[in-house]
Amino acid sequence: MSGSVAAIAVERLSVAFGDRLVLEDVSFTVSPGALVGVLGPNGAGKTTLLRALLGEVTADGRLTLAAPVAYVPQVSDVQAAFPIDAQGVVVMGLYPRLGWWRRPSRDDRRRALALLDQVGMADRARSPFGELSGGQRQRVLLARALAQEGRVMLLDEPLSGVDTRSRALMLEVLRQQCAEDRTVLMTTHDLAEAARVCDRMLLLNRRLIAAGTTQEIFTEEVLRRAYGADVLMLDGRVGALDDPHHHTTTERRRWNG
Amino acid sequence: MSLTIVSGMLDAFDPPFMQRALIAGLLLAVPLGLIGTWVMLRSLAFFSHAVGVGTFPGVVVGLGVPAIGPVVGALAAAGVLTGAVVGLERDERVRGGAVTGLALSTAMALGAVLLTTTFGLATPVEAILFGSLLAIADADVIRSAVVALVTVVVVGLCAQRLQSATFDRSWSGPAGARPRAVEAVLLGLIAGTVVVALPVVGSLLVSGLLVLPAATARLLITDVFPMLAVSVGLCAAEVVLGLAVARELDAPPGAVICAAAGLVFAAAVLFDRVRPRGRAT
Repeated sequence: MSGSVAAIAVERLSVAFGDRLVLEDVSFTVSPGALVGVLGPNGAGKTTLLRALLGEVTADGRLTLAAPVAYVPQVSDVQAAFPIDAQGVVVMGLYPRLGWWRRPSRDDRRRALALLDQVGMADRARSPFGELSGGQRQRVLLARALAQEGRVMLLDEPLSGVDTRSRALMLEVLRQQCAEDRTVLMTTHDLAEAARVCDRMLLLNRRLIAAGTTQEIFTEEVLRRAYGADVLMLDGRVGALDDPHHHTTTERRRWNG
Repeated sequence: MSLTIVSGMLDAFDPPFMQRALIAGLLLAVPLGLIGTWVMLRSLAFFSHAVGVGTFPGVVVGLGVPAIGPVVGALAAAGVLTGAVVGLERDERVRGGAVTGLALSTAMALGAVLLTTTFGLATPVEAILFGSLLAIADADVIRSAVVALVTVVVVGLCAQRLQSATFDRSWSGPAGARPRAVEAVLLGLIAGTVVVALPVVGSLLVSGLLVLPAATARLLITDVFPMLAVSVGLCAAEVVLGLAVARELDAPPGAVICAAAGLVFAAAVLFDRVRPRGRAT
């Protein structure tokens, strides 16, 4: 922390859904300008941690975040068939500043277009959101979060199921955000990607198993504490097996109502 | 030929009761089109049908007990049904339309039992279910105007919140759109619109007029805000056409208006399938 004010400070956070404790006694701090990956197996409480930080679930403990907070939900949470184009989605990120009566101005739409350009989507500004690929949709949702101009940006599985180009563009944008002293915290299943791009990582499995750098997290002992037996050793390198159907399952549940 | 048809349609609106029906219908097109758009986009068509049918026992009791009256009876029944469905839908074991279907059939059954065993009503049952040109009073016109005004103000204030809460509920909460409050307001507006539209379209067909113009607009338009305006316009045109034909055929207005709306929707489906630029997505 080197004496600076934390962008995110979590102290003894616990969240329960009914009798089930989803997060237990989680504490950590994140410095401004850091890119932090939240890792852990399915059901570890990664999404719940984000929702607790957003104030969307009832939680015990103390949470402090630098306001405003921007958010990128899982792309499967979005109703893709809704009649809206990519630019309209980004303009949505400006709504909180418009109040009740004001409608988006030409300047607002120009600003949205510039943000789409930043994520390499300016040429699809007028395309219906539902016609975009998974990676393109994710980039549009990132542009909407950029429009929120948060001091802290929370992203839920932004790299899941996206193409290589989208992934590279998104990571470049996130890096740029951090360079501007904004703090980025994202959940991910991709340990290799997290190791490559994140400054720090939080390893969750209901409790905070470990927090630290790649070297501190990526040891067989630490990973086994989070992933149990699903840890793979290859040529002395450590990896964790995860359920690749996680998102398909989520989507299917949603369609079945 | 076309002039004869237009002149015939205009003649249909000469009697004062037809003018009342026309004004009430045009005023109702505003909330039906505006609310209908969100009903369709939020997959609330079945729910809105249940609210319409759910007013049936309330109208029967209201007509049978003059101190209550059909409007208060319908409003109370719509409120009870909305509260029951919203409350029970939280139970995952019966989620997914089961509660709505159950509430709908129970309300219909209750209305039929009350009608046949308890209240001998002067009003024919078809008038309650499908509307009646003769049943539209000045008070209905005033109520339609009030609901139209309230809907314009509320949708005007909440349109951006409704849009974000419908497109992406999990984002809209943290962004300050208060999706739960927005949903509660929408459910209230559905109940109010349904109750006020009952004399014109009837309890069984009111959901048709909520859904059909909006669904037609959805096939033609790719952005939600113009869709709201097109939905209102289509609804108004279908009301005018339906009322004129209902008068000509001496048929219940709700049935003819919904049949007109259904035909327009079918035409939009055909247009959508054959147009070279592809579908509105």
